[in-house]
Amino acid sequence: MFYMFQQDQQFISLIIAGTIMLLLLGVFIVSFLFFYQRKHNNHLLEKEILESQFQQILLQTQMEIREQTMQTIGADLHDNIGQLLSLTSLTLNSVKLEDAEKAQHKIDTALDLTMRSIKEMRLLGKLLQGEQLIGLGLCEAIRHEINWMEKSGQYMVNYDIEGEQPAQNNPDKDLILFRILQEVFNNIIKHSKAKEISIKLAYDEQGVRLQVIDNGTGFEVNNLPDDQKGMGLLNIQKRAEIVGGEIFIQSQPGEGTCIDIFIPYP
Amino acid sequence: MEVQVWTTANYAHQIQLAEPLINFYRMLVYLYLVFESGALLTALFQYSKMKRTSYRYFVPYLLFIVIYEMGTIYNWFSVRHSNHWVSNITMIISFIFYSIFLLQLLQTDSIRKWIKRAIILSIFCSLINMIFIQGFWKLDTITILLQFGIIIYITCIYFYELMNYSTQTLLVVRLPGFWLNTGLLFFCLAQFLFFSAFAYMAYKNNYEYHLLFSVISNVSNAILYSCLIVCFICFNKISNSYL
Repeated sequence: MFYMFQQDQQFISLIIAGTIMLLLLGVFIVSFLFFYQRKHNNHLLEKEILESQFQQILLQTQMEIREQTMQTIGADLHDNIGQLLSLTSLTLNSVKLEDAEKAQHKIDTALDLTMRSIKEMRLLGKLLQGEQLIGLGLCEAIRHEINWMEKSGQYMVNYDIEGEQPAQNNPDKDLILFRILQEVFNNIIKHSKAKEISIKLAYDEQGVRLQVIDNGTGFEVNNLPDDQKGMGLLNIQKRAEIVGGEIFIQSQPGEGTCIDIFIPYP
Repeated sequence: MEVQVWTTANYAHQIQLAEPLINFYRMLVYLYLVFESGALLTALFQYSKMKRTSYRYFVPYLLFIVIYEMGTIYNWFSVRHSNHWVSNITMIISFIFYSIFLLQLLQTDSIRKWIKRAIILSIFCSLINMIFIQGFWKLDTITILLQFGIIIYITCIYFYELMNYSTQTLLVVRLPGFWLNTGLLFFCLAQFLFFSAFAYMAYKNNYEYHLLFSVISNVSNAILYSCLIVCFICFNKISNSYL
C-alpha cells in the first residue's frame, strides 16, 4: 500500500516536472517569435531607409545630368553659336550692294556661317536628347557623350565594347554609371590636360566594368593638392558603392590616370 | 504533556478561525471562473469593434463556457455523481470552435487542407471513443489529448507563418491572433500531461492528484482567458491588414 502511495507520489512529481518543462517550451517558442519579429522589423526598416537613400541619390543623379547638359548647352550657345550668329550679322551688315562681286562673296560667307550655326544647333538638339539615350542603353549614351567630346577637336577618344549586353538592362544602374562617366570626363577636361582617352565597357556574367584611361598629367591619388580637392572623386566612389560596385583609381604624376569601375549587373 | 480538551466552545472557536480560510480556498479553486467571466465581459465591451470580424463569435462561445463552468460548480449536470458526460461534449464543442477559428488565421492553403482533414478525423475519432472505447460517462482523455495535439500543431504553424510570411513591419503584440494562439498553446501544453495520466490516477482517489488538477486547471485557464482579454483589447488599435 505504502509502495503504491510512493509510486503515485513519484508519478505526480513527474507530471508536475513535465508540465513545467512543457510550459517552458511554450515560453521559449513565444519569446523566439517575439525577438525574431523584432529583428525582422528592424531589418525591414533598414531596408526602407537604404531604398529611400538610393532613390534620393538616383534623383540627385538625374538632376545633375540635366544640369550638366544645360551647362554644356549654355556654354556652347555662348561660345560657339553666339559667335557664329554675331559673325553672320556683322558680315551681312558690311554688305555693300554697289560692289556686286564683294557683296556676293560676303553673302556666301554669311550663308556658310548660317549653315554652321544650324549644324551646331542640331548637335545641341541631340545633346538634349542625350538623357533619353540612356533609355536605349548605356552603350549608346556613352557613344553620344564621346561624340560630343570629340567635337571640340581637343580629344581623341577610343571606345571599345566587350562582351554581350544583357537582354534585360537596369536603367537605374545605367544612369549612375553614365553620371560617373560624366564626372570622369569633367575631371579630364578640368585637370588632366589629356589628349587621348581610351574607354572600355566590358560586360560579363557578374557585372559591367567601365575603364577610362587618359594620357594626362596624372596625380597622387592619396595626396591631392588643396585646390584640386573636390567632390568629384568622392561622388564617383559614393555612387559606385550605392549600387554595390567598386572603384579603382591608378595614377601617378606624369603617367596619366586609369579609373576602373565595376558594378554588379543587371 | 498538555492535553487539549475539546469542549463545544473550543470547537466553535476553531471553526470560526478556519471558516475564512476555507472560503478563501473555495474562492481560489474557482478563480478560473473570474478569468472566464472577465473574458466574456471584455468581448461584450469590444463587440462594436469586433462585429465585422470573426472574433464576434467569441461572445456566444464564452457565454456558453461561463454557463457550463457555473453548471459544474453548482452540479447542474451531475448524473450518477459525475459530470464527465458534459465535459466530453464541451471539449468537443470547444475543439471545433477553436480549430475552425485558428484554421482561418492560417495562410498556406496546402496546410489548411491537411488540418481540415485532421479536424474531421479527430471529431470522428472522438465519437468512436465516446461510443465504443472510453464511453460517454467517463472522461474521454484520449479525445482530449488528440484535440490538444492538433491545437498545438495549428498554433505552431501560425507562429511559423508569422515569422516567414510577413513582408511588412509587424508588431506581434498588437495582433489579436498572436494572443489567441499564445493562450491556446499554453492552455494545451499545461494540461497535456495531466490528462495523459488522468485515466490512471483519477479513480484512485488520490487527494494530491485532485489538488494538482485544481492548480493546473486554474493556471491554464487564467493564462488562456487573460490572453483572450488582451486579444479583445487589441481591437482598440487595429487595422484590418493582418488579423
